[in-house]
Amino acid sequence: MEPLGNENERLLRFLYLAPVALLEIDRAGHIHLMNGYAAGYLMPMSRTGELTNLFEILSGADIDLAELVNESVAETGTILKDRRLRWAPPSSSPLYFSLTVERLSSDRFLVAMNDITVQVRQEERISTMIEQEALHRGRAEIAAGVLHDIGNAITGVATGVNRLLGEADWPEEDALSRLEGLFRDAYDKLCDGLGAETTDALLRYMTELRRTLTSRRAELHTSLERMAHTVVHISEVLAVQRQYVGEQPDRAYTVMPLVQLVEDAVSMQNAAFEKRRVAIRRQYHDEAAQVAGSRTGLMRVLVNLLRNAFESFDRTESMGERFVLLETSRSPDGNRVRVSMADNGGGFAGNPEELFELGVSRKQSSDGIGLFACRKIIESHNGRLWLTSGGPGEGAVAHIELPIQEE
Amino acid sequence: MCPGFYDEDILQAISKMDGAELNDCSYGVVKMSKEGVVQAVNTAEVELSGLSQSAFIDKNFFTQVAPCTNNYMVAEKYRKLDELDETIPYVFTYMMKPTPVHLRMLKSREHASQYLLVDRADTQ
Repeated sequence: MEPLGNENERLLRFLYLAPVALLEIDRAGHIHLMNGYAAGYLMPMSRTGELTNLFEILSGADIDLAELVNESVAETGTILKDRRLRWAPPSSSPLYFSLTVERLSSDRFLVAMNDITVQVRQEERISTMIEQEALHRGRAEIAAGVLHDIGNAITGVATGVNRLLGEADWPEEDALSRLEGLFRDAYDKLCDGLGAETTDALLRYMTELRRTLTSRRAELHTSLERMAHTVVHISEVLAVQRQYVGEQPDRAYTVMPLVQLVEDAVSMQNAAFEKRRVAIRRQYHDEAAQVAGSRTGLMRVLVNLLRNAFESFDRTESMGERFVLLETSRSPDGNRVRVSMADNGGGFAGNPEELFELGVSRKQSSDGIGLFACRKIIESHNGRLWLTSGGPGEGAVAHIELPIQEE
Repeated sequence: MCPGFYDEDILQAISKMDGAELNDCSYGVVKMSKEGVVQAVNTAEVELSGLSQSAFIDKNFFTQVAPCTNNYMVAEKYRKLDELDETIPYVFTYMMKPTPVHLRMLKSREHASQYLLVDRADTQ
């Protein structure tokens, strides 16, 4: 066979290398012409190792191509345009194609197929992220409502405590003191009427009663002061929580000191650290550095990383001192700030990058947003998030680097 | 003398053949670098494809010449395996027509080039 003329070869190569599968079939599905991409797509799908009939090759798909072709009545024209076709191999993930079928004549059909599996999987990943985001928003709304109710109750408690604290003197104590004075002034007359022994006993009883009342009032005052202090602390924690849970998207981007964000995250997780007897150590080499972004988004990341840090101690039996070291530092060029959270907990083996894949977790159950979403949030702030570990039992370090926002 | 398509030590024999000797083979021979860039193609393959030699030489075979082989059945095997001698039934699209062929995929650490042999199934 002689090579084709230049123009014919050019046309042949154009069709052959067109980055979409092109086939000409007849009404029975027999393939008469096909280009390179068509063979490349269809060979792995063929159960017989042959490419003779497209209907047979696509028999496991969710579109009955034979029915569509045979039911078409128009002499020419589009039968199918950009329809998504799902084809599931027996033992691996489904493949997706965009399918277009044009009728060329009564018994000739042009089929164009494009592999859209990558796009569909990306859509699925995005859809999963949207669901996670919706779930988070739902939880946030519930949390905001609960925080609001607790806040109202705490305000009532605070008002009551302050009212009790404001009552500096008890009239009963004063009245008892005056009564004791009256009894002492009338000591002789009382002795005449009651006898000295009884009068002395009565006065001792009254004095003891007054002292007890005074002591009780002081104890109660101390307790109320402690309670007031606790209520103030609870109010502060609630204020921090409400600040993040209730943030509205339209005012999401703000400039804030990174250390303040870290400390807010720590305050939210304090109870969990105390429960596990994990000490927080701080080495803030740059407390002034400010970052710009979503307060809520960054807080979610920091809380999630802190949670990973303290939960890592659940995977270790080490009896030594447990700690999480929080460090901030500025990059040599002064443009970026880095915060690292180093724990001496369970650590991990293997490639840290695998932990950032969607759906991967070291934990058996996870209600956090996950490292995949954490990295997405940090990257949306032009930052970087990565993990390091010396291996199982050697602890782990989470690093975040963000651009510094000058005011 | 061209070895038979199914000969056992075909890689040893074919790797020693120059272009003129490859042209003696009745089946198609594509000689590629380990990256898939075509270094030589024999007359049989040129005639089968209907293309000129220039359409092959210095092109990536799997992506620029024969995208029909750019899948896990062919290209992935060359990419992943260091030692390869496997024959499979396949379908090429010579002149846009589905054409059953047998492919023999050859690759070895000992040889700088890898080979794809193509035998039209309907000629046997």
